[in-house]
Amino acid sequence: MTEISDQPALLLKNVRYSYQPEHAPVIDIPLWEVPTGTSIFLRGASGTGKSTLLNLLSGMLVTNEGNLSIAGIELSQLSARQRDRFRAQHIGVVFQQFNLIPYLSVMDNVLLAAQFGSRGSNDIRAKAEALFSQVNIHKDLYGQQAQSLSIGQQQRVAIVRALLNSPDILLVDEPTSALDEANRDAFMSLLLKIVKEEKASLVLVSHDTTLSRYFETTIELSAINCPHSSPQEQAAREGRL
Amino acid sequence: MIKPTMFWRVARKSLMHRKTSVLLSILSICVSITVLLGVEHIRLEAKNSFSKTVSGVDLIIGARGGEINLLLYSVFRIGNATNNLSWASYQTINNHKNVAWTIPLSLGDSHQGYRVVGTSDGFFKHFQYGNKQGLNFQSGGSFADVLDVVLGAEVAESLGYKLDEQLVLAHGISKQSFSLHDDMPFRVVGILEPTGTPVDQALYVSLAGIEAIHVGWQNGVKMPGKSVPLSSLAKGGLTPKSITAVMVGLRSKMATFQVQRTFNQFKPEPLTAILPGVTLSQLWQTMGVLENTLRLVSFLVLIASLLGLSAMLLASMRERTNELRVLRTIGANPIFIFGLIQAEALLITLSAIMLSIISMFGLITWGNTILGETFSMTLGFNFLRAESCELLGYVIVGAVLVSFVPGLSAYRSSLGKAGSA
Ligand SMILES: Nc1ncnc2c1ncn2[C@@H]1O[C@H](COP(=O)(O)OP(=O)(O)OP(=O)(O)O)[C@@H](O)[C@H]1O
Ligand SMILES: [Mg+2]
Repeated sequence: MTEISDQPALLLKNVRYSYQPEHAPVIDIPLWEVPTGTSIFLRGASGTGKSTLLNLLSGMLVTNEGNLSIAGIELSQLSARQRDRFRAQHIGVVFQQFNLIPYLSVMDNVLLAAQFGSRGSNDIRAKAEALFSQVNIHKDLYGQQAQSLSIGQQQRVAIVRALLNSPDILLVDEPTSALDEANRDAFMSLLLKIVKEEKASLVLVSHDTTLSRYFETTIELSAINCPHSSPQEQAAREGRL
Repeated sequence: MIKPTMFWRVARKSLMHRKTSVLLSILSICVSITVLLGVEHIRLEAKNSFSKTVSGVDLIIGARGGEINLLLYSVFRIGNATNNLSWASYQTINNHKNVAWTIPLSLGDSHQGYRVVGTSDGFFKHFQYGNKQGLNFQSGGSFADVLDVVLGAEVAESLGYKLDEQLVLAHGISKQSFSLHDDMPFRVVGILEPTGTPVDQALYVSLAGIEAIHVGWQNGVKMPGKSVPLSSLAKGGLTPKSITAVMVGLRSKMATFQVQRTFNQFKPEPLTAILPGVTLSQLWQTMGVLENTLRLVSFLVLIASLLGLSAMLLASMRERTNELRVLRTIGANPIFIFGLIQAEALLITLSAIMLSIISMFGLITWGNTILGETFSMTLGFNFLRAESCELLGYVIVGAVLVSFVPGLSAYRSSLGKAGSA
């Protein structure tokens, strides 16, 4: 672990991705680096490829070309199986909604993720309880079905689940759009506090500019992603690098 | 990696999440498995009890005719003999050097729809059924007088006759026969124990008794004024001119084929001699078409319900996109997701199997009360024999095979599915 923690949390070089090969790429990132331990807000308008980028980072989608490494591990070098395993162990993901398996209990949702990350069950339960109390999920809710929780509660359980395996990086996609103002505020403060405590890196994507006040670093997606650059520009860029 | 307990918990809870459609699938499969098990059980029970209707009888000899027909009327009391066999021929058979004993059978009369069998004492001594079980009296004993009658268990039970009661035989075998031998009532002297074979469904009188009630009859019609008072019937004077068939026990089984040939080529009168075991299995084979049709239908019902299971699981994939995506994000590989769908299909099938085993117990218990009343035979509870377990094995394999469709669909969608919430 020490060996990879020297590496940047994220490093993308000439990453290109398009859903259909004949279409223009949705993602075309010449270079992007996120140092370990930083929290970054990546802002972009709707349909500009934020979710696509997060899916690439989590290994759910595979880049067409370029290099994408997380904590020093080059994702394209991994087999599909290894990628699934890597995701379970090193990456935490929180979506806008539908983060939990509706019919499993709160505790089972979290423990299932822990098992995919191959963590032992004795200390993991204690850790889950510690995290739950940090995000104000009361003991009484542990046994309840995830679908019976409010959206806000579900989002908080999702953070616990995402952080339980001590991921190197937490990827969060529009987590607050289903929350009201007060809940959004509470959620964001909690998220940033807990990420700091867990010493994880954080990339949060959203179209919502107001979220930038919670972050030291805000990046416009359009600043790193130039999917519409002409072939000449691309050639020039590649020659320069 | 994922612990098996967790894996099965996920599968189980996922099913409970979709209770209604899952329950319907379980019921549909349960019904078809029960049909399959039921058909198989009844088939094997019938075959079993069928092949045990007669044992210890080496040959059955009747007038020349169809072998199966001879078996049907002599053992099952179904149908009629086309011809009789003369008393002289019977004597020849009885005196043959290889013949140990004979049971003469004289058929043609009835009582309330039950056949009357004219026979000898030898019937109670030598006739065997099942695994060489002999006949026993639950009360009374064999006939001693001309007008004594012994009842099969079912006859006594359903008509409610007790020892010493009197009853009147009817001429012919129709239930609505109007030609009654009402001038000569018979007295019940014995009741046999139940055997679960056609033995239970008949009344037994001596050959002399059959002769006695037919004195003064011609061509099946009572001649008025020609009836003979019982007192004038000396036992010796009632030797029949002919009988319907004869069951034969041999001194040595080695001689069976030779004796059979002897009587098949009998000069004085054309006869047919059959080996009951061989003809029983021929008769069973004639029912093979029915048997196979039943099995085919129950198989088709099963396939239909398994396809229904597959369709149900496939349809549920649509509502489960989010769930599958969550599983993928927390690190489940597509094999896990494929396995989960298979596990769900397996749980549904196993529940259906358990449910149908319970239903079988219920159905057999219920069926036996009805069967017992009408046929004095019962089905055993041993429906889980090797053949049925093999069938259940096929059901499980079938369920696994058909759920490849939803399994692969889930696998494929989870391969390419990018979460875009
Ligand atoms: N599964 C898919 N197949 C084909 N095209 C897709 C797919 N998912 C997204 N796209 C396209 O890729 C582009 C980027 O989509 P993406 O979902 O990444 O945008 P986004 O920035 O997350 O938008 P939003 O803020 O609305 O969530 C869009 O033009 C979209 O049409
Ligand atoms: Mg999006």
